[in-house]
Amino acid sequence: MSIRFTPTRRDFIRTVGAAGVTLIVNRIGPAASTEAASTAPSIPKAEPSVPPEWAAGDGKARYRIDGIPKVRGDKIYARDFRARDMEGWPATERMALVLRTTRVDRRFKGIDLSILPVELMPQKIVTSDDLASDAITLPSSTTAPDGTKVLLADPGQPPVYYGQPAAILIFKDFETWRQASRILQFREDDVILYYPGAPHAGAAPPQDGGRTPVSRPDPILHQPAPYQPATYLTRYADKGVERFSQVKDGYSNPYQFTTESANSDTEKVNREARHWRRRISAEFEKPGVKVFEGTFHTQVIDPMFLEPEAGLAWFDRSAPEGGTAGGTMNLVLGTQSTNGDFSTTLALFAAEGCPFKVATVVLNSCYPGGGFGGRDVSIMPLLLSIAAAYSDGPVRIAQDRYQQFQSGLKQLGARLHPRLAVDPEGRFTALEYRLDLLAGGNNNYSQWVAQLAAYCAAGGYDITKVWVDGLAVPTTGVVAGSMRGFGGPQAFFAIECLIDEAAAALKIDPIKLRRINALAKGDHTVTGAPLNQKMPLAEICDIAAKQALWRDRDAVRKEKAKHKHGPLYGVGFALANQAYGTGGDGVMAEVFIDATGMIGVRTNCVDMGNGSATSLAISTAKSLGANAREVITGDVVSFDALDMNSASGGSWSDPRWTSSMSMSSSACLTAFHQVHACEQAAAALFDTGLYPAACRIWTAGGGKAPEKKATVWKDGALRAPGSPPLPLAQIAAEIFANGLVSGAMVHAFYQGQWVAAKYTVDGVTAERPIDGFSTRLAAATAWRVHDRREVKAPPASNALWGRSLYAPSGALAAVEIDRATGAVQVVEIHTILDAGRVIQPDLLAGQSQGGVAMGIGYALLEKLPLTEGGAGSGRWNLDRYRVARAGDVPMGRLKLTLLPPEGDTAKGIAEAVLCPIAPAIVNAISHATGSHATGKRFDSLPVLAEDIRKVLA
Amino acid sequence: MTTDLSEKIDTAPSGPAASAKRVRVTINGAVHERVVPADLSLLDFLQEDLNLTGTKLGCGIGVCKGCTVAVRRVPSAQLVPMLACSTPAVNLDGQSITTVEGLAGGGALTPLQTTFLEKFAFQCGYCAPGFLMAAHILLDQLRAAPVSRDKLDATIAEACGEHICRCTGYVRYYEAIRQVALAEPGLVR
Repeated sequence: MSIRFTPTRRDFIRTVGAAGVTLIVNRIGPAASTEAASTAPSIPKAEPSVPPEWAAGDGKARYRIDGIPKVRGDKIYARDFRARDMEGWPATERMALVLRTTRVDRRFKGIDLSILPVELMPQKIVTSDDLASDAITLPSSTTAPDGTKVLLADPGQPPVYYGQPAAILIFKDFETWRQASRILQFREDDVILYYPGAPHAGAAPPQDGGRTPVSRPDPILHQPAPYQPATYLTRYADKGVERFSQVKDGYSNPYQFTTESANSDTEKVNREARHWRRRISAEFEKPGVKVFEGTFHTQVIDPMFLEPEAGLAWFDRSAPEGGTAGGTMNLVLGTQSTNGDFSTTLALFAAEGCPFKVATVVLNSCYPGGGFGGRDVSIMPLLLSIAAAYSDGPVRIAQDRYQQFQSGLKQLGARLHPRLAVDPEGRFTALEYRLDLLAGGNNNYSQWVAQLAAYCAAGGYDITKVWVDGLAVPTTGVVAGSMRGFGGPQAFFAIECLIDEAAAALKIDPIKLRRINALAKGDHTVTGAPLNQKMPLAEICDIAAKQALWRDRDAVRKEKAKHKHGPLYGVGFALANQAYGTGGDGVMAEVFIDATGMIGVRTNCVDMGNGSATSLAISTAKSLGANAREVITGDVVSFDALDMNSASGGSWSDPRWTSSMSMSSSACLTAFHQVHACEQAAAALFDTGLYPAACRIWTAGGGKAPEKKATVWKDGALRAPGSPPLPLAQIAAEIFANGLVSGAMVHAFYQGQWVAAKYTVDGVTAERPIDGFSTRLAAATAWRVHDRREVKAPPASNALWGRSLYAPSGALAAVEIDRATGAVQVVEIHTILDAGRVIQPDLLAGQSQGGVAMGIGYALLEKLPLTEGGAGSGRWNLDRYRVARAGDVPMGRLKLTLLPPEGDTAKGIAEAVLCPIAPAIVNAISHATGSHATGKRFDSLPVLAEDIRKVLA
Repeated sequence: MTTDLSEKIDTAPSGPAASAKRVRVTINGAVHERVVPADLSLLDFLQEDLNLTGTKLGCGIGVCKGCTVAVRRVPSAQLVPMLACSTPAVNLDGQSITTVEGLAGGGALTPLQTTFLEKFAFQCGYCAPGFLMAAHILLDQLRAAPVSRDKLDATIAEACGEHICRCTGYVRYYEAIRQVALAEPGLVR
């Protein structure tokens, strides 16, 4: 998800001693000088001719760059750090506990800690009154259904959602916190106080000490509007002509009847949308057309990354050197959204009247112990910063698993209603699809999840007459957000199961039916966006259909059915066309070299375990002949050296403006987006630094410099016909001896195409697919900004495409079902994937294998009630919430077929490998049970043994 | 074996729930003697008292196995797995514990560690210490009681089957453990 973030102020950057922790310092106040902002990164000195141990040659990795600390048990996760580990911090550490509400049907009154003995009482209790009186400014991601921003429960109001924090308790030390936590655990009924009686509309506000209720409508009594913006898509194409679409006509809302002039642009497009929706509905009435529809449900799930969120914060109230008024907020976090957390922390204390004067924010970005979207704009950084503000020294929050279930971001459940028209030839002629994504009590990223679900609604199929509504419906559930798949798993589940029903009814092979309708290059998406890339969905169908697993499925099923007490057997298939990227993505990278020839990469992205750091480290080899030795991740502030902004209303004619500066880290954004930035920075460093240095060496003895295109890296040396090979170290030494370019920093923006422009560096002009570029000379601290010229920006209509990059995938799943118990065992999964160019095969395969395990959990195991009795109750842990174990995964029978890449770019596949798994398994269950023949349907995830027993009964 | 005398005795923390007990344990070869609350988990003891944070909290109730450490109850005994999150530290009095930090002991990585690396066995790595310790214990047990080749996979599943990993799908963990077990002579008949 793109966050528009403009870093405007910064101080310096350095790495602390503990492995994997990047220290980012951001200073509020006058921007530091460019020199001060540009402290050169230190790279461990080593013989440059010796490649790092993790490398397996140029562009290859023998193991993960972050591997050794992870197998040694080094401190690398946020949970590992204590104040005593942090250089310059006081060693005394407070512990904070977040008390959470567990009901929403009563008005919150306050907390009662009298069950604690006096010696275990917290030093400080932070409540919503404190936040209000101290003018704490909450971010937009905490928006409640009524539009107000909420964090701690307001006295006199019902909690906005199950598990909403009620108070932050700060204890003097670990042992006091530990003992108090034991007493308080599961004692909400004694500790959290509510006013008696259900809240009623119009009831008099409580007068007995409760804060005067705000005018917020009661979320229990009022059906709130969807979080904004809602997504309404209408596309009508006929005979190859786009008659109406988002891309052609702009955003529309057919449910909006304006009071403005009937001829206003808004009313016109809305009226048009209504017109075309009627035309679409008419398709369902045509003779010969068969209509398939159903209501499907997907469940709330937890990302269940294994490291419960934890962190450390210290508000150092002393003014930093330089005399800027205010203190320093130091944070140690494992987060996917360094950019967002950073700006949010700045904003928390920025209001006039806030007594906490924060001049500097230090964000120590640690390797997260798993992410899957669950650390993307979590409230943990808010809670930590606030705890630190009210604490007298460093403070730590270390959630246990119950608390993590209670508070961590969830994947949105969904209520899905697709309606599909199919003509006698099996062509999908029209689709109407309503997707209600069940959001929690804050918006977080729910509206964007619903939007991508809407974009995914038509799956991998060419359907020319479509309307889709994608809504993030507020509930009193735990806050949900951007979990892996981002709406795709929900949307694909319903459409892929419905298509299997259609195939059964039409007596067409399910893969053949998909093949008939598969999207191809040149077709358009539900937004009307053209598909300019190879779309091998038909090819995926063909590969799947040829597999013995599929061809023999009925024969094997019949054979197995002969054994009276043996398992039922079935094979299912599902297709997915998951997008990667957000449709308008800003990325950045810096590549630098030191005097010995060692290469380093700096990036704002974070490696959640998906392998981003390793992928980037090997991406320098193409241009520089060697892998990077070091990758600095999670660094936002350094890129201030680009001096760019993304102010609203800006334009591409401003050479320092970009449409989107940076975004949160997502596993699907590395391979295409982040690698592009890294490769471009490496290429720019070669062009502006290494090649000129090599030419100096080659020409020093009177020789002739070879053309750049004639040079090639081999065995760590730059070679050209007729010229002596130059080792990288020799070139680096030349750079540093002559003050040539030793660092290149780029920003790139993709929206259907990379923005490209011309840049002139030291008199040489080149066009590059980037929109921001700075270089640094050897030994210099200042960066030189090279303003772009002759920019080639995406057409404005590209912004309406929604998405433009896809990683098509398909999966065959085989299951065995115990006839007596209904228990399902997945016995084989064969994934077919268009991953583009493979950067590192082990990382790719690992993503796929992990996607299978998560898909099995989604299909068969994982479930949280949305509201009452759900995760917000604080009673959930891994004894009740079952994720896939090794025994649930068909480890010896996992197969991955990769399609040949179309070009030289890689694709973000972390979500694509997940999306088809659950529907393929459910379709296999339907095949095994013969449910389609009996008109029974497995329409809710997860499919449990009891559901199967019902169908078999 | 070393004794860190400088840290030999701590005072018990205050608090009514904390009946304090003395515990003397050997951790990664070093003897530690402390007075700790009777209900202090081994995990908290390792992390808070000894600053050994390589052993991880996953669920805190003994389900995910992420906090597995290796315990040798008496010098001649086999290693057994112990769940540090749900075992009071005082229960380990007199026993010897190996944590992930003790595998390489500041020196060369063990074959398990290098094979985990080379197989890309883990992703985020948070569950890796638990898998490493379970596999370390398994190898110790196989040295004493080798299994036939056809039983190896089931033996690995018995040792690691309840360990939870959210990232990987387990495939590469199992491949790595199998490879190490097969590479060391005498573990598989």
